[in-house]
Amino acid sequence: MLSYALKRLLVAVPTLFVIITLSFFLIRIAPGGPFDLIPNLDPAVAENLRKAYDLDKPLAEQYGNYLRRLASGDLGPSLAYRDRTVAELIAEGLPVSAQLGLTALCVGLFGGMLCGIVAALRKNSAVDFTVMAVAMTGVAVPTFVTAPLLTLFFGLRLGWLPISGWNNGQFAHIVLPVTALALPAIAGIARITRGSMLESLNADYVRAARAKGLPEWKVIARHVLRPACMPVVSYLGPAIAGAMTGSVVIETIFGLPGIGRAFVEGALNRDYSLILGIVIVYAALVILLNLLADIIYGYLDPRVRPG
Amino acid sequence: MSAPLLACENLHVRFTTRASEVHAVRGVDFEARAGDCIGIVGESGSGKTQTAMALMGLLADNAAASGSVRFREEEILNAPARRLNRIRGRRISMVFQDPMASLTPFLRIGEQLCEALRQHSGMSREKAKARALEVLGIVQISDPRRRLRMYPHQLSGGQRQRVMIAQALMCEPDLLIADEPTTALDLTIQAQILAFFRSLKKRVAIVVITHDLGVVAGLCDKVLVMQNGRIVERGAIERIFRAPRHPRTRALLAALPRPGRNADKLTPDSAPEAGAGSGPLLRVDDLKVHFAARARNGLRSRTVPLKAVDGVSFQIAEGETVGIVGESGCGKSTLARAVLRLIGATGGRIAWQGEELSRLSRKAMNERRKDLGVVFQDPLSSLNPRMTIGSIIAEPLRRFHPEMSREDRDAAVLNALREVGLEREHRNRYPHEFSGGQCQRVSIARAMILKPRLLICDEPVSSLDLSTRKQTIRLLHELQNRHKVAILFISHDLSVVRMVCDRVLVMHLGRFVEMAEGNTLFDAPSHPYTQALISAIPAPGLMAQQQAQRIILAGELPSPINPPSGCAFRTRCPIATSLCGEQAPAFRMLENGAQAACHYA
Repeated sequence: MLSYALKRLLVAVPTLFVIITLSFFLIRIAPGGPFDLIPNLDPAVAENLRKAYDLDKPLAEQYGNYLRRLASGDLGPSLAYRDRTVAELIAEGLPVSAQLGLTALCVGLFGGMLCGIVAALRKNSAVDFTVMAVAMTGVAVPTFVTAPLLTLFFGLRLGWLPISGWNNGQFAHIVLPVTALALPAIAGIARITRGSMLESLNADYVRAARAKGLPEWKVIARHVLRPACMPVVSYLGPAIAGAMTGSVVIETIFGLPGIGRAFVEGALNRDYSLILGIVIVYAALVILLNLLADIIYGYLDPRVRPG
Repeated sequence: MSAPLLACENLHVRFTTRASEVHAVRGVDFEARAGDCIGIVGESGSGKTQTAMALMGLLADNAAASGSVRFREEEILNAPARRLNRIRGRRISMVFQDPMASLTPFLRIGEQLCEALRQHSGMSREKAKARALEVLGIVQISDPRRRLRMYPHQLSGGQRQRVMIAQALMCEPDLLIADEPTTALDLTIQAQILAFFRSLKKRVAIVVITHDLGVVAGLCDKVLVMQNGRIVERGAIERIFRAPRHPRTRALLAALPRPGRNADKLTPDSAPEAGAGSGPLLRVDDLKVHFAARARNGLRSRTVPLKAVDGVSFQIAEGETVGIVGESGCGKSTLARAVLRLIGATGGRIAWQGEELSRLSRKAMNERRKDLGVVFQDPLSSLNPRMTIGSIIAEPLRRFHPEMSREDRDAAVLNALREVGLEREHRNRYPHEFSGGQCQRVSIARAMILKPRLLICDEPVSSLDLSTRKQTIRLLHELQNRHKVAILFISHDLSVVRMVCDRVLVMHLGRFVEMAEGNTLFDAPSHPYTQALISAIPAPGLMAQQQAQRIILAGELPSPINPPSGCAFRTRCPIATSLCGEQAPAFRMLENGAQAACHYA
C-alpha cells in the first residue's frame, strides 16, 4: 500500500509540471497585463515595475526563472498586492477555503448518503420520489443561482443568518455558504448512493446473508452498505474538484477571504504569480485527495488492492 | 411415523411484472423428514429455485407466495422476518449456486462463517472461530487457519463451494437446501463435492435442487421432477431411473451422457478426406504462452513466469474435429486464444495451411480471421447487448464483404438464422430477450456466416442446461457435416467431447498428457488423469455403493506458478511413485496407438 501511494505521488510530479506549464503560458496569452488597472501610470514607472517583477525578459527566460524559484519553494511576490508574497496570501486564504470546502464535502457526503440510503430502502415510495426530485433539482441548478436565492430567503427575507463575511468561521456565518456549496454534492451523492444501494440489495450474497437469518439491519450494515459506498468513493474525486471550483463562486458571492476569491481577483488583476500559486495548490489538493479516495476504495474492496 | 421436518403443501408463487403475472410455482407438495435426501430436478424456469426461495422467505419483492410451508409443524410461509430468522440459517440453511457471487466479496471467510453462529447462539468471537475451524475441517479444506483470514476471491471455485457448505453447517442445521451446488464447478470438483454431500447425509436432511439428474444419482433417495411450476413425477430414485413415467423425466434422462462406448457418438455423414494431400489445416508446434505473475517472497514481490501453456503440439486436418479436455486453469482457453492470436504466444509456431500466423502483420492476420470462426463460453456476454441479433450476425459480412448489397446480406442473415434453428422474426430482437441456448445459437450463426474452415469452440455448452447442451452439440455437428468445417472443441467435460470429437487431447497444467482417438480414449484411457476425468462424469446408472468406487481426484490443479517437480500430475495421482517426482515423463506412443505422458501408461 505504501509503495503504491509513493508511486502515485511520483506520477503526480510530471502531472503538476504540465499543469504549471500550461497555466504559465495561458495566463500570459490572455490580453492585458498586471499594471493596466493602475490609473495614470507613467510609462517609465510601468517599465520599471515590469523590470522589478522580471516581466521585461523573454517569455522562455521568465518561465525558467519561475521554475527555478519554485523548485526552492518560492512562489514569488504578488503583482497586485504590493509587498505581499503569494505564499503569504495563500497562507491567509487557505484555512478559510479548507474549512469551507471540507465542511461542505462532509455535509455533502453524509447528507447525500443518508438521502440515498433512505430513498433506496423506501424504493418507489413518496419519500423516494421527493428525495430524487430534490436531488435532480440540486444537480440541475448551478451554485451561482442557489447561493443568491438562499441569501435572499434566509438572509434578507427571514433575517436568520448573516449574508456575508467570515467572522473567523463563526457558525452562523458559514451555514449559508456551506449549504450552497454542499447542495450539488448532496444531490449527486444521493443519486449515486441510491443506485448502488439498489444494485447491491439485489446481489446474490445479500440473499445469502438473509438466508443466514440475520436481521435486516445487520444485512444492510454488513453486506449492503460497503459495496454501495464504492461508487460514492469514486465520485469523491470529481466532488472534490466541484467543491473547489464551487468555492471560487461561493467565496466571491459571500465575500469570504479564501483563496477562491483571491483567485478570482488575481485573474481580474492579471496577478500572474498569485494565479499560478493558487493553481498549484488546487492541483496538488485534487491529486492528493484523489489518491486518498483510491486508498479508501482499496480498503473497501479487497479485490482491487494493489499487489 | 414422526412428524415431517418440513412440509410444503399446495405452494404457489406468482410474480407480478409491469406487463403480466407469471405463475412460477403452481401447487407444489412435498415433505422432508430427518435423514431424507431429496432431489428436486427440472430445467431452468421450471420453478425449482423459486420453490426453495419461497421456503426460505427469500422471494423477490414482486413475488407473492401462497399455500403452506411448515417446519416442525410451525407455519413459516410469509412469516414475519423476525420469526423466520429464528429458523433460517439456524435450523434450515442453504447452499447457493454460484459461490463467487454468493459469498460477500469484501468480508473475510472467517467473518462470514461466524456471522450466523454468533447471531443465533450469541457465542463469543473465540468460540465461534473455534467452531469455524472445526467445520472447515469437516469440509476438508486444507490449511483452515489461514483460510479464515482470506477473502473469497483468493480461493478457487471448489474451495469457495466448500466454504459455502461450511457456512451452512455452522449452526448444525436440521435441513440443508442446496441450489445447483455443483453447476458452476468442474466435473472433477463436482465429484468431490457430491462425495462430500453423501458423507453429510448422516448429519442432516438434504434437499438438492438441480437440472442434472446425474447429480442426484447416487446421492438422493427420492426425486421430484418439476416442469412449469408443477411436480410432474415423484418417486424413489431407483424407480425414476429404471421406469420413468412422465415424458419430462424421460427427456431429462435422455439428456444425460450415457455410459458405454459410442452411446452418444454423433457419426459424421462421411469420413473426412484425410488432409486431401495438402498437409494439415492447422499445425501447432511447441506453443508456449507465459504470463508475468507476481510472486511474493517475503516483503519483496518479484515477477515469475506463469506457464499457462507450456510447449504443446498438435494438428487439425481439414474437416476434422479435435477435442481439448482439462480442468479449469489447465490452459485450454489460453491455448485457443493464442491460436487465434487474441493473445500473444511466448514461443513456438502456429501454421495455418502452411503459413505461419505469428509472423503475419496485424492487418494480414485480420484477413485470415474470416477462415477462423470462434464461439465463446458465456453466450450472453459474448453478444453485444446494444446490437440486434440480425446486426450481430451480419457484422462479419460487413467487415469482410463490404461490397455485398443490403438485400444479399439480409438474405444471408436469414439463411444463417434458419440454419441454427432460429426464426426470421428473431433478427430484430436483442440478446437479453433470449435464453442461453438461443444466444449460443446466435453466437454459432455469427461464427459460421463467413463459412470458416476452422471453428474454435471454447466451452460452448458449459453454461447450458443438459438438454440444451445436447441440442447445441447436435447443431454444431449438423453444420459441420453441411459445411465441412474443422472444429477445435474445448471443454472440461469429457462426455461432451466424446459426442463429437474424432481425436481428443487431454491437457493438464499447460501440457498434453494424453492424445488418442475418441473411442480409444474412452474405452482404454492410458493416463491416470484421463481415467479420473472419465470417472468424474456423473454416471446415472450407478447407485450409491458403486458411486463410492469412482476415482475422485484429491485437491485441485496445482499452481502453475510453482508446479510440482517431475510429472506435474503426481501430487494428485493415485499411482505416483518416487520416479514421478524425479523425472518428467516423455510424451510417447503406446501400443494402442494413443500417446501419453506417464511412466506407467
